[in-house]
Amino acid sequence: MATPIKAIWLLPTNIENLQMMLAQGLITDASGFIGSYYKDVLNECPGYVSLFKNEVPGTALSLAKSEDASLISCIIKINLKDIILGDCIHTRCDIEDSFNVDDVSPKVSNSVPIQSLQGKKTIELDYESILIQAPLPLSCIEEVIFSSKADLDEFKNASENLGNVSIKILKCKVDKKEFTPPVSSGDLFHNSFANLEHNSVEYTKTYSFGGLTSLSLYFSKNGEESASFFKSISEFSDNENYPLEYKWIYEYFFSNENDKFQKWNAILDVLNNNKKRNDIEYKNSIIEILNSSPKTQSIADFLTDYHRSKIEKSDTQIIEDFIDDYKKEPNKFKIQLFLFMLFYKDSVEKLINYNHPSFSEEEYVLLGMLFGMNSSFIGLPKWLVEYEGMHLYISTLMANYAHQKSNTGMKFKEPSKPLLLTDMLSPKKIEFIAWFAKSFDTNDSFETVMPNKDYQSVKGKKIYDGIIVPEYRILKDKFFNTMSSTVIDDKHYSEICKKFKGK
Amino acid sequence: MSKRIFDLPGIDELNKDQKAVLRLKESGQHLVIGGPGTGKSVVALLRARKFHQKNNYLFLTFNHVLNSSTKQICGIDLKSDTAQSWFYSLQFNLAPGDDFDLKKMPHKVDSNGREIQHSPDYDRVIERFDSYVDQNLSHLPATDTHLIIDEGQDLPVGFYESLQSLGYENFFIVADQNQQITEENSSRQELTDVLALDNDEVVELNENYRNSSAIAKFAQHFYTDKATPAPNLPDRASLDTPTFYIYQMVNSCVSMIHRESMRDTSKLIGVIVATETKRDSYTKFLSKATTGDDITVSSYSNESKQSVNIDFSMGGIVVLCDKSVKGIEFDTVFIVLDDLKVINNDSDAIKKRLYVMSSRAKEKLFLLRSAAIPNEVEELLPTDEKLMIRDNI
Repeated sequence: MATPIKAIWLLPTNIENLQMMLAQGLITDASGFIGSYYKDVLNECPGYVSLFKNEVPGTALSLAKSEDASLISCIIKINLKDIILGDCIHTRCDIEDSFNVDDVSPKVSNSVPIQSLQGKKTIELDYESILIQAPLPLSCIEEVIFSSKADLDEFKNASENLGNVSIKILKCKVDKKEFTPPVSSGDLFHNSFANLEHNSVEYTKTYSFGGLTSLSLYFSKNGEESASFFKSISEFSDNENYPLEYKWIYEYFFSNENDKFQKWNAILDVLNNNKKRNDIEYKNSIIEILNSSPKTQSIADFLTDYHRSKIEKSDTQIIEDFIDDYKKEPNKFKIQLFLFMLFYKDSVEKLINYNHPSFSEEEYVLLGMLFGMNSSFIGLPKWLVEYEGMHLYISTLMANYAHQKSNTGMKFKEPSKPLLLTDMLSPKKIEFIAWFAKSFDTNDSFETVMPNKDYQSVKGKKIYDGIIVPEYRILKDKFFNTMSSTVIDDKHYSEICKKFKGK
Repeated sequence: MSKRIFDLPGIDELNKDQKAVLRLKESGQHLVIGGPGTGKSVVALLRARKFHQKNNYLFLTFNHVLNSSTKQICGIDLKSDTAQSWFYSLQFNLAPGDDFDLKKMPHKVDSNGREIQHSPDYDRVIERFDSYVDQNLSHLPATDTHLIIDEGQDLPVGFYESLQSLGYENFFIVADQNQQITEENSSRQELTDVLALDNDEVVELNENYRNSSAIAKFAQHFYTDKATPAPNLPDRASLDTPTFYIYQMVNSCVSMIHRESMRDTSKLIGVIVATETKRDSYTKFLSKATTGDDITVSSYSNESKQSVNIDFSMGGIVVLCDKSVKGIEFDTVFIVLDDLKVINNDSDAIKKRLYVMSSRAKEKLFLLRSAAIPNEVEELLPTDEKLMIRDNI
C-alpha cells in the first residue's frame, strides 16, 4: 500500500501580487493590498486567505491571470506550523453537506483548529480547501513554485528592478506539473463564501506599525535607551517613564479610548493614511488641521512660510531654537519640532542620514517611529528590510498586531528577533567589542575596567597573578554621539551579526 | 553637497498601466504616450535594465543633458546616446570606403539651396541605407538591438523610417506630443503609423507621479495638446501652490535660491531661464553667492559644443536654458521669466515652453520676474490664487 503523502496547502496567485505581499510584508486578502491588486483567489472570500490542499484547481490558476493574459502565475506553498493559535474554515469534498440549509452559511462544524491540520496525511483530511482569516505573516511561505525557469527568472529580474521587493527570504522552485491540474468546472467556492463573516482588519494601521517598529529597531543602534523603546513597542507595551511623544504614538496604536492626545491624533491619522510615497499631499492635510484651530495656526503659518522659502533662518538654527525652548519646558509636547522634521526631512532615508548635534537619543528614536509610521513597511528602504531577520520578524509583528486588534484569536509564532547592537556589545564579548570599536571607529566610546585584584608593580607595569579578564563598558554619551552619525546598512549589520556569532 | 537619493520605483508606486508596459513582449514595436511625470522615462529605464545583462539594447535620448542625467541616475552603466549623434555616426560608419560625400550626412536644403544644419534629408538617407542592405555589406549593424527612445516625439518620422530600412524592428518609444520642442517632430498618429501599430496598441499613461498636485495643476494651465491625455489630478488647495515673486533686486532671488539649496544639499535645484545671457548671469551670481559652501553650481549651453558637465546624481544648483531641460526633473524649480518673450503673437509656443519648464518641478515651483521689467508673458499666467500665489521680494 502506498504511503499517504502529507497534506500541503497551496495559494495560487501571480507574481505581481506575490511581489506586493513581499513589499507590504503580509499575505492578505484583496482588501489588504496597498497598491494595484490583480484578481485571484484572494478576492473570492473577502477577509480570508484561501488555500487548496495538494493541488490547485485549474479555475483558481486561470483566475490569477484573468485580468491580463501577460501575468505570470505562481503557487505559494503555505506552512501552517507557525500559527500557534487560530481556527480556519474548511470546505469538504461533499460541499453541499457543509452548509446549513436555511442560510447557506458554513456550518459550525466547518471550523477546524489549525493545529489539527498540521502534519496530517492527505488521506486523513477530506477537505478540499481551507480559509484562514487574513493576514498571514510571510514566515508562512514555505516555498514558491513556478511553472518554468523563464517565469522564475522573470520574477527575479522584475523584483530586482523594484525598490521595495526583497525576495531574499524566499525559496523558489520550478515544477511544471503543479500548473497542469485537471480541468475543473463550476465555482471555486460556494456562493455564501463571498459574504463570510470576518473581523475587519485595520490594514493601514498594521502597515504603519510595521514601519514604526522597523525604524525603532534601526535606531536601537544608538544606545540602550533607544533599544528599550524598540523592545517596548515590539512587545506592544507602554512604560510610564517614557516621554509624551511615545505615549502619543503608543496610544494611537493600542488604546481605544479618547485620551489627552485626541487633538493631535488627527495628525497621526494623516500619517497613517498617507500610503503614497513621495507624495507631499500629507503636508497639505497637516496644514489644514493646524489651520483649523487658532491655537495651532502659528505652526501652520511657520511651516507654510518655510515651504515658500520665506524664512531666512537656517534649519540648524531653527532646530536649535526648538530644542532650547524644550529645555526650558521639559514636559512640553515636542510637536513643532516633530512636524518641522517631517516637513524638512520628508523621507526615512533622509532621517537616517541626518545628524543634529543637539538631538538626544530619545528624539532620534521617536522621530524614527514617526517617520516609519508615515512611510509604512512598504516605504522602507530595501536595505533595511534586508537586515538579517528583519523581514520575517516585522511581518510576524504586523500579523500579530492585526489579529490582536481585530480580535480574531489568531496568533503566530515570532521568529527570532533581529540582534540588537547594544545586546551584542555585552561586556563578556571582548573580542567582538574590540573588533567593533576598531571597525566602526568607536574606540573612545568604550572604557576598560581591570578587576579589583592584587598586582605587583614592576618597572611601571602592573603584573597580576593568573589570567585576568578586563571588562569593557560603553560610555553612553560618546557611544551615542558616534553612532547617531553612523549609518548601519544591511551589509554592515550582516557583518556585525556574523562577527558576533563568531562565524 | 549630498548624493541625491534616487530609488528604483517601489511596486506600490507603479500603476497597472505602467506594470503592463513592463510586461510588454521583449521584441516588436511599442509606443507609450503620456504627459510629464507620468513615468514614461521610468518604464523606459526599467526596460533598459531588463536588457542590460544581455547588452542588446540602446537607450536614445533627444538631447545631451537628458542623456547625461539619465546615465548618471539610472543605477547601471547605461548603454545610451543622443539620437542625433548616434544616427550621424551610424550613417558615417555605414558608408563604405573613404568616400567623404557618402560619409557626410545628406541635409535638407532651404529655399536658397543652402544646407540646413542638423536636418538630415531622410529620403536620401533611406536610399543609401536600402542600397547598403541590398549590397549586404558586412558591417551592417545588429538589427535585433532593442532601441529604447525617450522623448520620441522630438524625432521626425524619417528617423524611424531610416532605421527600419536598415532592418531595425525592436522599437520602444515613449513620447508626449505636448512637449514637442523641435520643428522636426512626430505626432502621436505619425508614430503609431510608422510603428505599424493599431491605435488600441498604443499604451497611455495618465497618472502624474512626479509633480505635487499644485504644480501639476499649474502646468496643466499651459496644456495645449488634445491628442495626449492630460494627467489626472486631484482637486484641492495646496501648501505648495507655485509662487510668483516679483523682485526688486536680483540679489533677493539669488539669496532665495541659495537658501533653498542649503536647506537640503541632496536636492537638485533647477534655475530655468529663457536666454543664454540670463543663463550666464545667473550662473555667475549663484557661483559667487555659494562660494565657500558645499554647493555646486553647474550649467550647460547647447551652443558651447562641450560635453555636459553636470552631476545629476548629486544635489546642487543647475542653471539651464529651457530648451535643455526636457525630460530632466528637479526637486525645486525657479523659472526666471525675464527675457521670455511672445514672438509673432504665438502664445501657444510660449505656453508649451512654460508647460515643459514648470512640469520639471517635483516639489516646489517659483517664478521670478523683475519689478523693473514688465513682461507680457505674465498675461499667460493663471490669475486664480489657487493655481499661483503672487508675492513680492
